[in-house]
Amino acid sequence: MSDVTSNTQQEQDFKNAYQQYVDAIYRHCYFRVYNKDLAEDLTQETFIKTWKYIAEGKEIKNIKAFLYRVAVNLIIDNSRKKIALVLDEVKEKEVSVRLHSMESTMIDSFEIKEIIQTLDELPDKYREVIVMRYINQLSPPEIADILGISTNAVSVKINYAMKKLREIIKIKYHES
Amino acid sequence: MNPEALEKLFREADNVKLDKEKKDAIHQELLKFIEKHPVQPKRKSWRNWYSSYFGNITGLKTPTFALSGILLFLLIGGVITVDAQFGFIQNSIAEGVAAVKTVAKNTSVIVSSPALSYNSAVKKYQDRRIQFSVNPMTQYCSVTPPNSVFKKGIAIMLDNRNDKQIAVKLDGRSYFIKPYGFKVITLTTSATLPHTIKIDCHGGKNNASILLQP
Repeated sequence: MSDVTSNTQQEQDFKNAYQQYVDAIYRHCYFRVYNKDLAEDLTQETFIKTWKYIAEGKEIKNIKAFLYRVAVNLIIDNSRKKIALVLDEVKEKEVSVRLHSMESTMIDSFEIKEIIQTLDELPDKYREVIVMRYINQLSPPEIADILGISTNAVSVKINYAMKKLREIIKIKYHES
Repeated sequence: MNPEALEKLFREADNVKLDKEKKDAIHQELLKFIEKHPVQPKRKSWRNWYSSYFGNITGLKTPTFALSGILLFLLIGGVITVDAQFGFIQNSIAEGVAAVKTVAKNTSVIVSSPALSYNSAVKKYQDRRIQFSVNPMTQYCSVTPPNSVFKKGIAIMLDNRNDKQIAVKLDGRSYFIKPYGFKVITLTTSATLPHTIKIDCHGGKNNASILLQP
């Protein structure tokens, strides 16, 4: 196959990947940063960084895993930039405001608010796997591939995170 | 909330999607970016170069075999050099930590050869060892034994008993031996046998000699 044909194919594959995974990546970013605008920016940056990698002539074996890996790293970078600190201050306000700015199906979505408030009580490393497993519906091997850890470690994290979540919910609803 | 309903609740998250307008906007941005940053032609790695040039020569993978042979030769046999002045061929093998470092400048392959400890070398070359000792006062290099007889092709140990590096010459070819280090060399020659190899040590001349016999 000539280079030109190969490049066109790569471009087409990438465009298809965008259509296929853009919502999933956005969802992942959203449930990690709880901010619509920031999640959109991170989603765009994820795809741009991925294309840069492809454009450098490097090979990607699993585009889905690669996109998630880039998104995960961008989220980490973002939190390192202390943007998360600013968000913490306005989180309560943010949740209500942002939810109402989303699509019509999202308006007044009590469940989404519930998810965010519940997940928010989890430490970040557990929230990450829960979002991947139950919101992005990735399999433990896929999560392992993205995070660069073993499938066993992923399963342990998920089990622990679920246990924590149940405890949080139990306390929350028994109290109320 | 029933904790068991948690996973069911997560499914509600499927409703979280990018606005269509935003999705299209990002798509447009990406298209622009792709246009500005087309895929670069792949750089050929040495592996690609190797397979493109040698991969089709034969199905027997001869180049790999030949390279392995050369590596094996360097590891076991050392490097053959010809001394033009004397027509004397020395096949040197570096062994021991000290010796390896000296030779490694030119032949890095030798570094990976199994290192021989000093004690093991003394034991192995007990009757084929030439010691060099420099008097700190006079700087005269004593060689023990001063005159030795070896058969062609035999490996001998050059043993530096000084706390400083010394330079030893065998028929004009220099060997630098580290403090308390040693070097093992295999003696061979294209000259008519018997042949006398002159040894110069630490700037001296004819400090010792080796009679090489068939």
